[in-house]
Amino acid sequence: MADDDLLGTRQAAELLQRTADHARQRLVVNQPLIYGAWGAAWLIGCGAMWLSVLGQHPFRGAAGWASAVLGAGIALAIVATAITTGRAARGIGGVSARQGMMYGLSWPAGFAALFTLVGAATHFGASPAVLGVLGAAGPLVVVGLIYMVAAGMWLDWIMFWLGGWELLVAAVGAWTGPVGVLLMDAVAGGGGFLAAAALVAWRNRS
Amino acid sequence: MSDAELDPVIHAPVRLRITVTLSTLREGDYLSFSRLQQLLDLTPGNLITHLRKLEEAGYVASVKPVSDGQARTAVYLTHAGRAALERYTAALRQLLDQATP
Repeated sequence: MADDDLLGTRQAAELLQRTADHARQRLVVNQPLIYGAWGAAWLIGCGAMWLSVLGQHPFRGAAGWASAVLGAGIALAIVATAITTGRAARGIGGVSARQGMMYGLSWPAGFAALFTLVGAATHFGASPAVLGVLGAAGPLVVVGLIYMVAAGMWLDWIMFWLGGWELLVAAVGAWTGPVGVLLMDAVAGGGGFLAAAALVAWRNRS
Repeated sequence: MSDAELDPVIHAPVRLRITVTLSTLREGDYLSFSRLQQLLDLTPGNLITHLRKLEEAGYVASVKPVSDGQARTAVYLTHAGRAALERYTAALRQLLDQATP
């Protein structure tokens, strides 16, 4: 493109649209991908956990293979989140970078506190059923709270409602017991993420 | 100046692309020179030439944030730049509406 090519009105409008689409595609984090990855991890991982505890009397806890499926799903979702966020944020500095750093750090902080708390409950003699409920509902409380607060930072209503939904799933799920809560996690928890992915993709359509 | 006059500072392919790309950032954010160059697929010299014109008009400003001890130039659209792009977009729409009866 030469320095000052003469630009027709229609050409200029098309160039403006194309440039805006291109920039948004590259500079904005791919939220549907992130929600989709977490929705799949929750649906498949907690679904496997649920299948492995189905019909346990008394409740003993999930089988090793099921925990491994959930662990692999979570690891994949973390990688997908880190890659898509890192790609979009590269070269962007200022307010968003600082907000993003604090937001990013709140995740490991929240989960470290939760797992330490579950460890303490184990130490002080909580039954497998109590540990099952805590371990299955606890993560959704962390997720729900972080999303609701972070939504305020970005004024993102879909994220806000997703956070509120996950809190509701955690609270209601806990009362269904250590087996039921895993099914709630998988279907309602994972389903909430997948619904949010679809809603954001629909909102972003150009 | 009539409403539907296109701002010559923005109305050039490279400067239009720079302005629109920077306008997708949130206010308070800036974009590194190298990422902007890579997004627009321009040579450094070409990008610098057009950034200077936009800076002279007061539409773009630069900062030198220090990360890892080394300063890298980053640029952002000023309030005047955002307002100018809005006026430009409105003028463009008006001209297109006039062209299609």
